[in-house]
Amino acid sequence: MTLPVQRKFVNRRRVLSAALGTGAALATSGCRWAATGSADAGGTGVLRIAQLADIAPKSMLSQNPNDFALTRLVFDPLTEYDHRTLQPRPALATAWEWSDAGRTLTLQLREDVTFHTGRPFTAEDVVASIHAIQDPSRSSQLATTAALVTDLRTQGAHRIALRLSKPAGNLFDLFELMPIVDRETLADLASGKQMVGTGPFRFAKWTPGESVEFTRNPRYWKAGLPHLSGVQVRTIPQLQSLVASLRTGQSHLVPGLSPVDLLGLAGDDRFATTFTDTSDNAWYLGCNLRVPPLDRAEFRQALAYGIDRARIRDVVFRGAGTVTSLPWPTSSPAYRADLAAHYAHDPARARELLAAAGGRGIGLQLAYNSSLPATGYMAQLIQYDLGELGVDIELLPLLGNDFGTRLSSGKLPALWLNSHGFAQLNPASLVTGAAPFRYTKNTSGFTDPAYGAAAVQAWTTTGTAARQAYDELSRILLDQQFVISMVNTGATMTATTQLHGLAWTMFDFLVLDQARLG
Amino acid sequence: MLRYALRRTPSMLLTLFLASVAIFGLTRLVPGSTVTAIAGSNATPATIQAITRDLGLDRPLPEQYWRWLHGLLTGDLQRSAVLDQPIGQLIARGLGATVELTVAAAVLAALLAFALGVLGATSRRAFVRGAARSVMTFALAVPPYVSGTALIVVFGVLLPVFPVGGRISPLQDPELGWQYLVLPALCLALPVSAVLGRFLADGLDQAFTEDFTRTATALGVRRARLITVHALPNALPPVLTVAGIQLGNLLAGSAIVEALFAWPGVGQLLIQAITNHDYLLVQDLLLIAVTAFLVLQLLTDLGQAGLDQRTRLGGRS
Repeated sequence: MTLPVQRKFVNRRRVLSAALGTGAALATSGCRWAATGSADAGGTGVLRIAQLADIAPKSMLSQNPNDFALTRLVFDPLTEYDHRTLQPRPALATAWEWSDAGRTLTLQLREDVTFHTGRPFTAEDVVASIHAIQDPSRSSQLATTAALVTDLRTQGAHRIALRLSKPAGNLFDLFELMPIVDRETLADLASGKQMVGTGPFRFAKWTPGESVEFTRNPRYWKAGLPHLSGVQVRTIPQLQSLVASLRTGQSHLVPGLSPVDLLGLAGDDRFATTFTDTSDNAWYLGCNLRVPPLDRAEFRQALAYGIDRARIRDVVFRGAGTVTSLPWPTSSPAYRADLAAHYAHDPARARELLAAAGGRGIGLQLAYNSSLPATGYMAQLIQYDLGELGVDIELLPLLGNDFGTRLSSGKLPALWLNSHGFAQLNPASLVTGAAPFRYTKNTSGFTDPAYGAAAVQAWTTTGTAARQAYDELSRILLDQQFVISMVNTGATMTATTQLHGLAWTMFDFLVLDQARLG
Repeated sequence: MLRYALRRTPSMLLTLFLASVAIFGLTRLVPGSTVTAIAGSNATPATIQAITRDLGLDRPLPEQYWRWLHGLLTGDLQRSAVLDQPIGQLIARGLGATVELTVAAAVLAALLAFALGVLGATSRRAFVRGAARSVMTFALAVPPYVSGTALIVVFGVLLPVFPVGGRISPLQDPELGWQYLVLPALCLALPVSAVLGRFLADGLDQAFTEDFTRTATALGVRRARLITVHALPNALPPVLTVAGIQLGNLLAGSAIVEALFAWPGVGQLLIQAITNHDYLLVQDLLLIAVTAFLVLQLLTDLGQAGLDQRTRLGGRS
């Protein structure tokens, strides 16, 4: 019997033909490829930014880091700091004048500015913006300073006088951080339905969890700016995918990652990582003074001597940053090099102080935000350093929200690791607004009338009196060490080398007025 | 059948009620707070107090629970505390993306399973059969987190063929939409295709040992016809049963894949809501998931009864 010849149902020739046919069909159809960037307008001027967390319009007025990429795109401030001199420069306010012994400030506003809706910008919008900041439910970190403004009087459409309950040396910090919002659409800001400002880009669309898009403001008051035709901010919650989006050209810019997150891009000359010059990431070890023996200053000083700050800077921040014993960056008027170098790494001195404070062999918990990889590395280095002194550190990693909740409610354990901002602004903002340093109800539970007096003096005076207050604050901070300052760094901006003209404010709000691609 | 469905309703409602209590309690037990997500960790006590009051979180827990339940019963899912968006809209948008991903993954899984299963059982070359079975074992063993990262590295970075994250709806822009869909759908489909492929290969192996296939071979029936007409119809029914179960796994597994590929579905929405302690959004999403499983369970029971008349739903023997 002869079996019939069986023909293969699927043979090599058919598979190859099908593959070639599909390829030819795609090629001849001129298929746009999303992966190569030809799919969207990236090449024609839309800057694509990627970040780990979604934007938070509801926290827009509370300086939420998730909004740093877009705040200065949509909104303009009244004034902007010169990064070198920390002197205010005109923005929506063109001139200002103090009177009434520092209790009244009169601002002259630009007259050629319109909101994205087309309505002219007036002094009434400044009134609405300050009132919004004063509202506790808006959670502005400068609400304390805004609360000093007791009276707002418009003098025509473009002039306004601010009456203060007492002089405030840091009022221009408020102007730097406060977005000037359109009073007519302010109610829709929290929901992200409308974001109307006078900035270089107009809000187009927000898809929660996905992206937010902006288009060029053709009526921007800075003539000829911006250059980009639009900006897209995408949310990519997974770190590896975020970095991959940069490597594949799907994103042009990723702000705010730590150097350890960026190791995957090391040696790739298509990208550059820049540290902002603001030094507003000041890393510190917080001490809970309610937990013995942290209630003893000698014990806290021993910890300060025992930490090898240079190693933390070199390992965790790849050498970028300044080791310091005080919160102030080098650009701050409160900075003094001799005081910043006070707690040089000195294990012998640390052991002496520990012996005097009776703290050897003790066990303490150290909490940190495990959502930030850098803090985990830092916590381990501190654990090692303090272990060498005979202080047994138990690490307590906490998820970001839990850490934040415990921080704001004062329920952290003996020690915690975190970073703070504000020190790059007027020193008064740190001791009145930042939770670790507030002279009333700070996180550590530290109280001292002398500290409070120095903080108030720093807040309400200028010139020599203010500088004396800064020195007094530094002296108390060094002596008391309820906050052990370690390393000051800027935020990172990792971008394709095709991006030019990138800038930022003193609070690291992204500034894209002059940005170009290609 | 309708009577059976109606009889199951009280127990389903009781299950839903108990689930709602458990979900509400568990969200409140998780360390952290919605207020922190809104106000930040630097908030003053006055700010915390103001936001807590605005959100109604200062009210007693039973009252908060009742307000949530009342909203659900009246069809009002309320607004997300953190995103300040209607929860119904957020879920509808996320669900659309998740269904799109799941359907694409199911289609890919079916195609892959068919190809691997048939090759693994019918190829005349032992090497091909071995390779197909090895691929299935590998796809089953590697978790989506690892396979997804590998797909990103290979097809996104080394060979920049497909975008590594994000979504454009194929309905809005089909030309680009499918490209965004390929990698996450493939990542999600791989383990499912391995399970289905193995069932199919085993089913075909079994079919080839049966008398009717041996007879057909002896009669000179072409191999292609032998496979498609005789073996496959006998091998497919158990595969279809398993496919039904695997569809649930696709939905459950989409959360990880969505996070990896920045796919804005309900999985990513749930993770974001949990991270932010967005209580109402978490509660609504979890309760919807419980409801979906209860309905699927009921439909499965009804379907089984429809297919097999020997099954008397709830009847007396």
